[in-house]
Amino acid sequence: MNSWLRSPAVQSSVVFFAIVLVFVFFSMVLAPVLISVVVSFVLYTLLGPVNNSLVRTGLGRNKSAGILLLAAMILVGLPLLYLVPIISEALAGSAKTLGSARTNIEQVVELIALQGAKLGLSIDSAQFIDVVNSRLTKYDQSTLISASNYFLSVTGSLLLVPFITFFLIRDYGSLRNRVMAVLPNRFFELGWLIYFKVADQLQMYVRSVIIQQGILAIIASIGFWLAGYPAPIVLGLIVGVLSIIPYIGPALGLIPPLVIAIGMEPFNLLFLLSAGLVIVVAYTIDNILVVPVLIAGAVNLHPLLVIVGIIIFGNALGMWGMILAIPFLAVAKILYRELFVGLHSMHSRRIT
Amino acid sequence: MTRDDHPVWANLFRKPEEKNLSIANLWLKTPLFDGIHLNQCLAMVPDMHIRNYSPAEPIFNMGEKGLGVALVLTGQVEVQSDGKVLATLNPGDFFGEVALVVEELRTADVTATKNSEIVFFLRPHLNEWIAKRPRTGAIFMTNLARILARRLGQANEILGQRHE
Repeated sequence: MNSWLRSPAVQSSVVFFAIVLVFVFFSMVLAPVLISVVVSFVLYTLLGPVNNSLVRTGLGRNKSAGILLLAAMILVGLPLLYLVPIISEALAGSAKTLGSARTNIEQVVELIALQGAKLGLSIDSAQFIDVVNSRLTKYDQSTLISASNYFLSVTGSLLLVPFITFFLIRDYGSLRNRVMAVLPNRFFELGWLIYFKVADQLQMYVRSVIIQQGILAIIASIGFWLAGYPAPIVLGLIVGVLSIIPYIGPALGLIPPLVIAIGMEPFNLLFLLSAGLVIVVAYTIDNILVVPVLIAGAVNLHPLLVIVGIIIFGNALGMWGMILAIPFLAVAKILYRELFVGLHSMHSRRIT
Repeated sequence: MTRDDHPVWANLFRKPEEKNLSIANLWLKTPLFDGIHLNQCLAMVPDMHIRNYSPAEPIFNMGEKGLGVALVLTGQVEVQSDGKVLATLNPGDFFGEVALVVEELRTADVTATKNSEIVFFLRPHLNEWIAKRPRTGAIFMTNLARILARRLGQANEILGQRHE
């Protein structure tokens, strides 16, 4: 075999891409239940320490997993019971509010044009209103129905989550041991070393992100409540959940309160602007206090790599690509580094 | 022991519980598990890994990152450094325990000299076990500290003799 083919860099790259291919293959196979599996793994990560505490009290594996199944059902079920009627109603009601939203948008644009004129800026409000109207016409009832259907299908697949979580808590350890048993003797310790480092990194990232989202959701909920928005907890939760999408998450979180504000009668510009203020304050606290403490410690990646990674992944896989870019890059870094170090020590041993 | 003495099918028809019991009993005879009850040791065995090695197959080499302690279940292994045999280990003997504490490079080569079954107990599994059973975990860690202190004393003695 050529000597360059036996070099640790080449071998690490080959193994690395083989692992990525296996991961992509399983993601494609599991596509119909991928959301449920991902959410279950997140819950499994969160409930892991609770499981340890239960086992510490003397409970068996099955009883502990059973108690956590109930906890998972409550964690997933209660928010669904609370959110499903509200969101379904909101989706059904949005068609009715489109009419008043149209009038309010016209008012806002005319107000901006008037203020712009005072500052010497010429804004063609009529042309802008035409564009907005044509866009709103496209956003007809059929779009709302398909959004509603998508929401219901996601809700349906989430019902699987407690059961998958139960089996993960009960059997994941033995399943993992069986899968890792296929490693050849030579790579047995190296394989486990990489597995544990990757698992640790992912667990730390997931826990940090969930805590960060929770804090953001609480701040935003308080803000929306102070501003007088209806269902402030739902709006805050949406802001928290959407913050997982880098860069465009804040803008997406702003859409629901904006829709509410635009659809309000009588229209109130201050009420509309307060939504933006809530998002700005929540994200400022998040970026200054929460992210540096929680997330920066969880992933040790260069900011440029993060930006480029998010753009490439977002371009290839859309929203999911943007969400998965940071954990994927963090895992890929550990995977390649440990493979290289491990194979390099074996290679230098062969040479000497 | 030859391959005929240890046929592959013997393990296929052996109940896993029976195998786990023999592993736990072997661990309990080592100073690592002093003061630990059989049931507690049995609960750990599913998180241990049994690997089969052929004669002359390396188990690990000097300079590689270590992740756990290994116990000779069947067969025989040799510990070597720079081609010199430091020790021959038989069923019930264990090696590589330093890796249970720190992520250090292995300091010797270990190679199977016969068909051997080696049971690995890895550091992350030990940490999980300590999180679930802190009291037993503390006993285990005290035992480990005693063994490492003894090894340190022996190493100091050898170094002292070399200087004299």
